Amino acid sequence: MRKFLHSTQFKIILAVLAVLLAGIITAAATYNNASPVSTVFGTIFEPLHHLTAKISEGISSFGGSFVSADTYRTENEELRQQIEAYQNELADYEEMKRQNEQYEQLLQVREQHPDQQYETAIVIGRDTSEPFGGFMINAGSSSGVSINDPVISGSYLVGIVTEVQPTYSKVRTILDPNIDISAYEIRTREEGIASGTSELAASGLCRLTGLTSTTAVSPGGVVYTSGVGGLFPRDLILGTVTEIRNSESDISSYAVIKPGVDIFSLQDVTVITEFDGQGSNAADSEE
Amino acid sequence: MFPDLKENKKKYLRWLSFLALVIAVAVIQNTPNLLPRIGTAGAAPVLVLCICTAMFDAELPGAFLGLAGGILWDVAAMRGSGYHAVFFFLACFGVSFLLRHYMRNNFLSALVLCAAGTVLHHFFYWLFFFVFTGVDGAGYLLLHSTLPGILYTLIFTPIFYFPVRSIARALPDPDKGR
Repeated sequence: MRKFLHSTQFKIILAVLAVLLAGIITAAATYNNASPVSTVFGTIFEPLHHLTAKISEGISSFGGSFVSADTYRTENEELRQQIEAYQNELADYEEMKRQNEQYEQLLQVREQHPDQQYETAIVIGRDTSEPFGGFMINAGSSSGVSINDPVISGSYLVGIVTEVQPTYSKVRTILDPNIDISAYEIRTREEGIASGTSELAASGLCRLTGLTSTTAVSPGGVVYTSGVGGLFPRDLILGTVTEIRNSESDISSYAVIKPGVDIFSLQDVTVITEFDGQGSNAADSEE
Repeated sequence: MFPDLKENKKKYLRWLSFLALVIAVAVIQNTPNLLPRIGTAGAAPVLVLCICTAMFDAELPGAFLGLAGGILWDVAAMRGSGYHAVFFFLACFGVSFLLRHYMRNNFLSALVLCAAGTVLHHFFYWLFFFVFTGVDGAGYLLLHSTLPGILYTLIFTPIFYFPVRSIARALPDPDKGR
């Protein structure tokens, strides 16, 4: 044993451990949460991840052609019902839009978020030990992506950038309990905080907390970001309310939200690299 | 850089083969939707592979192969950058040490070592990055994500042990006689 402690092997082991621990401490101390070792190897292997993601996408598409007609029939029916529900909301939206158009001439409110800048990306990696659907995308600081940039799929908010490297970034999703999002329900205008829990994340769901026990929010309601805090732009869709539950710890209620997209199957996303009001307040935050 | 290249050709070729295998499996593990998930539980085949390769090598080469696997996992890791590299490095060193001094190299040993390594890895990961950080529902995660993940990972033990053993026998280390 003494001989081993004095051997060259042991000294090499100690040296490597020291480098790794220094990397971990650096990662913890810097805002980027990444050790220099991971940064270097991540940049080197990003093209390989990109290639295998494309291959995997091709294999999934090929396998999909063998799915039975029944599966497509069921999915079609579900989508038809969803479209019907959104058409009802669209009618309300059209009315509000007409009013907004009148006010726009007076208040110069611009439609369709022309203040926002976007960067498209594809999902190239997922951590097998991550239960909240976090993923890696092929857009990094060289593409204008920064930490805390919101990530969307279509018009649905799916997550936020938490680590940025030159050629890739990592995204934590809205299912993550450490991500809090100021949000409101479109019909009742009730506000709350959207976040995840371990139990709900297993089903691909999250929740809107802070509702009163007499909340008027009901299943079918659509939840949007409120824009409070400056971390997320206003009016990004989070998802649809599926049920209202009483909180286990106090007398409040919360709404279970089904995100508009399947977080665990995302392939293409868009990063909002710039929007009006970005970073204006630290009230919305990742813990 | 590589002394006695001709003499140790088989040894270097074996290291290269193991390294290529570790890189390939790590990339497969990190590629989205390639390995199916059981609920939120995913498999970690690179951990089992690194332990199996460490069983057929000396302490230092085994540790560095484990380090390579750990770093490749850290690249895609959402939490704890550096944790996998440190754990793999120490675990593979320990596995190699045990095989050289105390244990026989057979499939039963592989099962025991892979099980111990996977349980320790997943348990400490759960402890450090979910319990200590105060994630809501850490107990639920242990039962529905960590434990199924351990069992799912262990399925890869026979898948990797026998091919790794075949490579080690075809390209033996002249110094170690393995």
